[in-house]
This record gives sequence, C-alpha cells and structure tokens, in this order.
Amino acid sequence: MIDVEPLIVSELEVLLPLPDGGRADWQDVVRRAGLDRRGVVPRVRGRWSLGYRKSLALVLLAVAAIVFLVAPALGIVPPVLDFFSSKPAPKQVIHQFDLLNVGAPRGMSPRVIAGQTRLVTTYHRHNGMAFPLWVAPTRKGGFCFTFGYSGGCAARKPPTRSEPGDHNGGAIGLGRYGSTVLAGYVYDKHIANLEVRFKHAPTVSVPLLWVSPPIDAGFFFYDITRAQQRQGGPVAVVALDEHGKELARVAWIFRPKPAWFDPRKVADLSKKHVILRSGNASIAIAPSRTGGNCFWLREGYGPIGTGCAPPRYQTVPMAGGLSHGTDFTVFSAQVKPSVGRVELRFQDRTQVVLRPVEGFVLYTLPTSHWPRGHRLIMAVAYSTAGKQLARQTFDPKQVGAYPCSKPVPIGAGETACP
Amino acid sequence: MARGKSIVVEIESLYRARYRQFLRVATAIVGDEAAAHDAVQEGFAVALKERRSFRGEGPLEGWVWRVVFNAALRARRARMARREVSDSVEELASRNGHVDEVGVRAWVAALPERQRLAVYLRYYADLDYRAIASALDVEVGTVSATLSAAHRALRRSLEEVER
Repeated sequence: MIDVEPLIVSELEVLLPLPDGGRADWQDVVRRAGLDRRGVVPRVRGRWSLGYRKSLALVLLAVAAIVFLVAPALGIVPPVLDFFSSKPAPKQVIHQFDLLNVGAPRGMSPRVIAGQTRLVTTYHRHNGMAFPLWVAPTRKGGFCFTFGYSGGCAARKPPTRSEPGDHNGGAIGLGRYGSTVLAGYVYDKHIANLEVRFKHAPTVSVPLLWVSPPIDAGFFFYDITRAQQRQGGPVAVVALDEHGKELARVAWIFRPKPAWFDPRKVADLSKKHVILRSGNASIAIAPSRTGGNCFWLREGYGPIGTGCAPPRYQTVPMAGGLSHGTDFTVFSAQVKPSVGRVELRFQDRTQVVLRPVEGFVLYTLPTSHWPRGHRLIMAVAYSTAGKQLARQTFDPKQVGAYPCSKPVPIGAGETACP
Repeated sequence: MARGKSIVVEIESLYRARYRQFLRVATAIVGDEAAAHDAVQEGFAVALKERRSFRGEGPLEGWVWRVVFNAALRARRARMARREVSDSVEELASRNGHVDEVGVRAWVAALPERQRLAVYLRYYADLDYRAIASALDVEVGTVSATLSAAHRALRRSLEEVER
C-alpha cells in the first residue's frame, strides 16, 4: 500500500509554489464591489424600469443566441465541450475501454482511464445510422475513443505548424471507416477549419467539435455522399488556420493501394508452391507480375498472413515476428538475399538456426518453448560470411503470445495465457 | 447592518491573511496567474456584494472559497472559449519545466473535476474537510469520499507504475 499524501503534497508544491502576495489589493476589491469606504453598497433607486429591464433581457437573449448559435457557425467562437459534463458511459462501454489496457505488450498499453469514459456526441450517417463517439482519457495524457464499430487511441502530440504540401506531422488523426465515413481528431488549436477536398465535387468544410481537457482535442466526422463518390471521391483532408493558411494535409489515405500489394491481382497462382514447412505451419509463394513474390503463411488449415512486395520494397535485412493462436506460436520472417542464416535465441540459452528459402524463414515453436524461462527473446540475421545484419528482440512476458493450459485473469474480466 | 459590516471586516481579514492561498488555487484552476488574480479580486468583490446571502451555516471562509472558486471556474471557461488554456495543470507544469507524462501531476489533472478541486483545496489551501465541504457546497462526508477516491485513483496509478 502506497501513502500518496506526501507525494501529492511534494508534487503539487513543485508544480505551483505558493505565490508572493505582491498583487494583493483590497481597495481594488472594494471598488469592484461598488462599496463606499464604510463598506456599504450605494443604492440607486428607480434607475431601470420594468419595460427597460424586459427590453434589456430580450437584447441579452438575442446576443446569447448569436453567441451560441450563429457565431460558432461563422467560426467566431469555437465551441468547447466540457468533457466531464458529458454523459458518463454505461458499464458495457467502460468494459470495452478496459479491454484496451489488457494484454498489450509491455509499454504498449494505452493506459486508458476507462471509468472516465464519456459520450461526447452522436454522429449520424446520411442513412440515419448512429455513431456514438465515446472518449476516455489515458494516463499518458492522450485519449482513446470509439465510434460505431471502430476507434483507437491517440498519444498526446505537440501542435504542429507545417509548411504547405502533402504532409501531416501529427496534426490530423484521420481514419477511413467503411467506404464512406471519414472521421478522426485534431490536436493543433491553430486549426480553425477542416476541409474535405474532392477530385471533382466542391470542397466541404467539416465542423470540429473541441472537447475540453483532459481530452483537449477536436473531433470530426464526415459521411461522403454518393454524388461525391461518383465525382471521383475525396482526395485530401486539409487543415487550415483562421487566415486560410494550410497547416496539414492528409492525402495518402485516399490513394489507391499499388497493384503489387494484392496477391489476388498480381500473383501467378498457377506457380504457387510451398517452400517451407515447420510443424503445422507453411509458407507458399507465387511469382508476382510486378516483380518479386507473393506469399501465403498458414497454420493448419487457417491463413495467418499474406502479401506481395517487390524485392526493392524490403528496406531492412529481416522483417518478421511471432504469430500465435490457441495452440501454436510461429516465428516467420522475410529476409534479404544477403541473409545466410537466422539464429533464434531463447531464454534457456538454447538456439535454433534457420536457413532462408526463397527469402523466407519459418519456425513453429515446440511446446518446450512455451513456458516462461524458455521463450524466444531474440532473432539475429547473419550474412553468409557470418556478419550480423539485423536483430529483433521479443518480450518473453508478453501476455497471450504463447498457448497454455490454464489462462489467468488479466483484468476487465478477460483471461489469457500469462 | 452591524452584522453586514462585521462580515466585511471578516472578509477583508481573510483576504489579507489568505490572499496567496486563494491566488494559488485560482492559478491551478485558471492556468494563468494574472487571470487568477483577476478571478480572486472578482470573487472577493462578489463575496462583498452578496455577503447577506451568507447564512452562517458553515464557516465564512468556506463560503468565500466557493465564491472565489466559481469566479475562477468562470475565468477558466472564458479562457477555454478563447482557446488560451489547454489544461491548466499541465500548462503550469510545462511552464515550470516539470513536464512528465506519467506522474502525480498528470494524474491529478486527469481526476474528475470535483476530486481535482478537493485536492487543490486540501493541499494548496490547507483547508479542513468542513471548509472544503462548504467551498464545494457538499456534505463533509462527500469531501471525505471524494478525497479518498482521489487518493485511491492516484495510488492505483502509482502501483501500476511500480509493478
């Protein structure tokens, strides 16, 4: 049990030492209160008639309406939603956020404060489908959010003022959900206007919903219409400051994936063949019409991964990782032709050497390497001359990476193999 | 009238004795010392004007704290609307060169507002539970529960880091 009181006292002291009292000015308080020297409020009678007060009330009402309704639309007063005044989330939503903390590799947990989840707003698609936006702060200073069936977590990033061009620099967090919904968040408070630009359709300005700290970000949602789709669809989301200067632009998300990316489009399936087997896992390849090979990684009857990449797109000597299921853990990697062997090192100091076949290595970890103390900790790629070209480390404590007979509770009502 | 005048004297005494604590808490809320000073001045002015609405149900100091508090919260909202404030505590930490993403300060900033305000009043203003209750306009038991909840949240965060 930690006694937090001394910590709070010392941290708050560092944060904000007791200020000096040089500004204290009691006479200023008295003046502001409208008191005379004797401490009495001077009375003024009959100054405002009932009619005058009614008129004044109407004027104030009109001003309030302008401030709250018209001005935000004109971008004069940015509306800021008070986060903690928003509707708290029900248990099942809190549970969803709790799950985000569970089972993440060490240092990767978003550390979301699920109990503080709030319903920030509810967006709607053109067809009426509702997208409630739930947001929760994280202990890292960022936030996690879900809307509809998607969401994510955002780390706090400093506001970015970038030069014009196709760039982002952390200013816009943009996601594409389904084929028509664009949604995300911005941090940079210099952003006064967010635009969706289309190939042929007119540019659209998307409202930003600014949410107060601890979230301190602006959210947006836009459902692309069929007409806009027919006219070539969106080509960029652009953030502008109040003077119209471009601060950030995200365009890559709208560019079609290159043809070489998709095995269904470029693989010569008549030449597909298995090159590696290890346990129940296998890797098959087929030549791609755009150069290099496409690959298919399988375990038993199930696919684990697939892809195509011309050799020039592999920039590192070894790119791989662990794949795991309820009864297997497989190491696989794609390696450059210069790699002569890959050495797997385990916690118990045993080693396994893999020889690449057509640029791939594959190893199904036996049950003896599932328990803690025996797990994979490193993969090292060597050239044929024995020079170390690359190394990749693995966290043996990662929850859920290895099968087990007795999963244990890991929080939020979930269980996983330790 | 006599009671009214004596309250004025009491409020003035409180101002002269505790101005620095009021300024400190207001700065924590507003995020800017100049704006916080203005909020303290405004809060005390309101306390003077509205002194007859103090019914003596709790300590006068707690009541004045509540009035100044509200002035500080109004100032904070105004700054937020002008986008002059991101998160007052983090902003201050940043200005003092003490930013650490995971630390008591960040956790205090992440507490729900009532817990955060209770923490400020307890540790920046050294108020007892009764005065905090009066300042927050809640029962003393609620203050106890609120501070306990804040301590629990902070302890949980610390234990997670130590794990």
